[in-house]
Amino acid sequence: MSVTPANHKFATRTIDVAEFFKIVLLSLFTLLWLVPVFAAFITSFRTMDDITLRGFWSWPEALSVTNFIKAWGAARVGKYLLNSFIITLPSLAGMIFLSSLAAYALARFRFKGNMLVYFTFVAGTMLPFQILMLPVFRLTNTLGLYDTYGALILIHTAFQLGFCTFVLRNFMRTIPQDIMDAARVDGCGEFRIYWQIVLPLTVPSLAALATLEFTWVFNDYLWAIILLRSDALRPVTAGLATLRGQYNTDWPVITAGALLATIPTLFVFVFLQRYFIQGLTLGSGK
Amino acid sequence: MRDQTWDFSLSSVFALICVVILLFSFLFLPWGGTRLTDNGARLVSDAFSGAPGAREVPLLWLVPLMGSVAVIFAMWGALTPERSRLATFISIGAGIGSLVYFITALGAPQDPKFPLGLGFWAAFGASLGMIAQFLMAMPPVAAAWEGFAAGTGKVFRVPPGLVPYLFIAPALILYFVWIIAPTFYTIYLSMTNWDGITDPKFIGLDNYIRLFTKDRTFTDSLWNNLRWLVIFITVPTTLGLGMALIFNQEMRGGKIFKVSFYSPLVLSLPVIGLIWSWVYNPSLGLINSFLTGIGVTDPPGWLGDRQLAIWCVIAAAVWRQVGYVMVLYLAGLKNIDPQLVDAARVDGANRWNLFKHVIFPLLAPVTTIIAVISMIDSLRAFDLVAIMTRGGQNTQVLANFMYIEAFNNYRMGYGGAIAVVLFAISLVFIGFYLRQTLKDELEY
Amino acid sequence: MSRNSFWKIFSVALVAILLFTACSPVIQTVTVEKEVKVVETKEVKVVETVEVKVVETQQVEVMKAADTVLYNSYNGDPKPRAFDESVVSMWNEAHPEQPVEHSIIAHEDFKQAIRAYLTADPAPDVLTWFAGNRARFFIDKGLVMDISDMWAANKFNETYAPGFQELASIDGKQYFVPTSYYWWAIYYRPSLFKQAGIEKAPETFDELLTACDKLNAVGVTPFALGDRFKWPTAAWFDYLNMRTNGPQFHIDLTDLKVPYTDPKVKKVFENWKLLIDHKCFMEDHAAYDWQEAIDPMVQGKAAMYLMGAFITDSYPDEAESDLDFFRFPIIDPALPVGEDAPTDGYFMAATARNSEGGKAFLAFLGSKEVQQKAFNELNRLPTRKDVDISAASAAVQKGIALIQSADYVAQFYDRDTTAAMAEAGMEGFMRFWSNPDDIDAILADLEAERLRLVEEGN
Repeated sequence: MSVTPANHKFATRTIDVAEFFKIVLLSLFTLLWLVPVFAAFITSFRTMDDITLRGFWSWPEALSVTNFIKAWGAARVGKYLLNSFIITLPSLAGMIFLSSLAAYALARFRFKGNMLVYFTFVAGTMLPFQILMLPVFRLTNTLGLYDTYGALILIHTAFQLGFCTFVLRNFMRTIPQDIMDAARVDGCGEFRIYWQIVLPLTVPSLAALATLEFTWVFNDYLWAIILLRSDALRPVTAGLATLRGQYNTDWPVITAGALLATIPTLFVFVFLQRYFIQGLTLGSGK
Repeated sequence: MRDQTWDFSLSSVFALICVVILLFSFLFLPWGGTRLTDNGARLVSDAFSGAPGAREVPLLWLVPLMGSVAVIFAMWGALTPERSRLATFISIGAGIGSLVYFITALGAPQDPKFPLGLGFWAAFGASLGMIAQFLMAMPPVAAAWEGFAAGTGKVFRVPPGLVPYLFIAPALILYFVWIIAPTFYTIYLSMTNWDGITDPKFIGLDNYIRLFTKDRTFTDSLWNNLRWLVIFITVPTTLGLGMALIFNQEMRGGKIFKVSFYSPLVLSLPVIGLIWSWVYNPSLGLINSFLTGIGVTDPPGWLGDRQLAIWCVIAAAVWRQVGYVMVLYLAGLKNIDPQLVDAARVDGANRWNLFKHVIFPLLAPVTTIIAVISMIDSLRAFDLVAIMTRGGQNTQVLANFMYIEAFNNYRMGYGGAIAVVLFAISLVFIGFYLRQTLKDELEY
Repeated sequence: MSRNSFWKIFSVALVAILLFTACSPVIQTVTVEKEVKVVETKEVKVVETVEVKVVETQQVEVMKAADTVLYNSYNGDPKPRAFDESVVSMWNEAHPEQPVEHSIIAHEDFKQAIRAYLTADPAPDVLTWFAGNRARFFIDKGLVMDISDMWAANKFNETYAPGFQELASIDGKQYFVPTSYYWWAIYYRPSLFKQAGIEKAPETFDELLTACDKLNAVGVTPFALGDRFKWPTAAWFDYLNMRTNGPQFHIDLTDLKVPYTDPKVKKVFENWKLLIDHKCFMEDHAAYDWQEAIDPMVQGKAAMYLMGAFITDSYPDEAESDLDFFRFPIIDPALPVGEDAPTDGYFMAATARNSEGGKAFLAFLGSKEVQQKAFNELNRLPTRKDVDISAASAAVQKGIALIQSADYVAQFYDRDTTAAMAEAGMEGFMRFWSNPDDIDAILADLEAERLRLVEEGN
């Protein structure tokens, strides 16, 4: 890779060889990454009998969209997707609002217990969530929230608070104190500084966080299994999981449903990508 | 009305509060009766999906629809005062829209078994508030408010020492009730023999003693988690960083490569598990077809091999993780000031030195967060194991072991003990990070 | 924007909202002035019905216009799922005043979630579950409703086969409605047998070993097996144990009454090792899901598969004409014959809100009509004596004969023993596959688990 400026004559050739290797290596890696994804895509157009008869990696005998129709209709993916949104969006709003409030205080003020609270939030991100399942189920049940959207919204909001606060606090620390102090001198209340000065500056980080959290909350399914009973409320991942049988499973339909379920995530990625790229910087290189 | 004394910024904040109350009541509070399960969202959901016996609530869908539209604009308006006038008008429109439902509902005959509940009244009030908020923007009201605020401001001023606590309180309370308290409850449970149904009996440290002295699965799982951790902190990070460095430069087809690397992120885990078990299939799978193709006579059995299986699962997890790390590093690289890099180039740094002394240190914060995420993910590793092998073939990891003990074997206490150990291990790792933070904070 | 703090805006806004909320009933009378009278007269009428209804509707979910029955099931497999849904819609058409609200979740998830279901509020009224030990666990904990009255009212004690009545009862009270079962057997491809020169299906263990050798000689793997998720291996243990030591020993072992270190248990694994030594099983079977292991059979690379009757649901329809089954061969002719025939059924949660509706729906699920339908559509064998089985295919007749000729019917290893023992046991069997010489250590570990369970009082 060393291109010494002295050897101008050979420089271009060396670069070409390096470039060539880079392209070859990249293509290999890309292939390794794309083949399974592509296989999933093809599977969703095949029938289970076709796969059993000819093997998964064989050339499909026929392709059809029946699996997608089945997934959307009989497997109610459309309805489940709506539920996913009803659960995910309020959770996102809740966790981002509450954690940005907390992060603001943690980043800006020195007060007793600051580090303790921060550590509690950070340590919470390390919790294996399965540890909480039964206690949270009992709590939810006692409060009368079992089998409601609210049960899932609350646990998702609470569980992700740790990570959000951790990220936002680190980001907010990089905002120069002078800006806030200046606002203070102008007579702004603390809440207004937070709302009208700090929050707009944090938007890229918020967007990045929202993207990540969206995929996490959207793809959760264990909480939905434990905290919901009714099919009518189920989010899409849990809904798709019901297609798995005790003995027999129609994998192509599940794959088709899963692909449909990724569309919102894809949208979020595409639309928020711009922010995402600026987003999780945590102040690096500012 | 471009009268200077109309002040929409105040009213749009008020509108935002009303919309939030409207949506909250709709989602959480009983729309009829007193049960929380009878909330508005459930009513609409049931009616929408034609659930058997669903109650007819004409026009109720107006409430969430109007609410969702209004909340977006109200937030926008409250954050950017220039837009607040538009936000105010939209809020009025949405308020009137949902009022259509409320008036119909009040006019319709009531079902005595299902009297209108708290959620209904709160949402009704909120929708009236969404309309009435414009009053707050009227010149006399705004002026009166200003006078009132100036007068009471001195009386009700929040003591400065209390401010940070007020900011933290909402998050902390929620966190305490849903996360911290259940955690401590689990710690208590880990010292009992609770089966999840009958009353727990306190048995001291018996569960822990058994874990560390008698339980083979536990030690096996622990080792598997450590393998996972080591691989996860090194491989995806290096690969992801390498990719990010390559893609950060302009290159032909870069976008296609980039997209391909993070495409696994949008696939759901069951599908990933399914595809990879087909990749590993010893007779028809992708790898072995390739191996026999190049002349290997006895290719390995991958997931069927007790020594190899865990590495197979980890490889699938790495495959998923690389794109994720790459995205994070790309984000970091985009934020490096090009001037710094140019300056280093002018100083004659070669590529390696440039990377080592300039780029990598600047990426340190991103590396930290990636390390933390990788650590969390590897210690909490669960899904892929549960999907690909259900813990068989020596692939058990602590999180899945805990889940099986607690939920399949009805040993909630024992499962709790495993979880506590897992948490303790995580704390050791996070401890290093926290110590560093603390040091930085003290210098700061 | 004025220069005052946002805190005050918030507090005033909150107060204002509360005021609005408090005022809203007043506004109501103002806006619908004309209609007030109408509402009032209606309310007078309604009061009477309330008083009558309160008694019976107290426990009914308020939410619904009708008194729904909450029904949760684990039938995720494509065909049983379609059957389950059609049964529910049959009920809903006949009983619009008491419709069933049906929720399915995956079988594996159901096993984890059931404990939450049974202690939740609202609990499902009716649930699917396995007969036998797994149901007993919840009955003992008082989480299952006593349905003796429904059982008697519907004359189930006359129409159900005696063995299944026993399965449903504890101390003379009924808690469970067993509705269907299916058989396990060795499925095989006759064409491959012919190719290897095997004239008839093996009836003894020696014949089985010879058949394996003959198949190996023509390059066909004798047994397909896909036990990545462990349970297909448990069938091998069940059958080898019942054939080697007799059903009674198997019952005692799964009931945790006999130690796993008993020399009889070791004999099971010696027979098992004979099969391994004769290269009876396909390579790397632990790498395959059971459905994936059908592939080699369809492609003619493997000849037999020890599996439940549900194999036909996954077996490609085009290939099914070349598929038959036979009883697991006899090892010790002096012993009674035991077979695996897992039974599924339904029960009600002890805290069911709609106990009347639930019982009515349960009676429907256990009725002749539904069992006939299950038999016709799913090939599930009925537990009632009055179901017409004459129209069944030859294969199903053979399955019925297989079970009827058995001296004892077991459920299946993971249903007969406790969940924790099944988990440990199946892990032990998997270890045995990869290292058959390690059997003493494996059995010692299983015995430790058994002792622990006995100590825990399960």
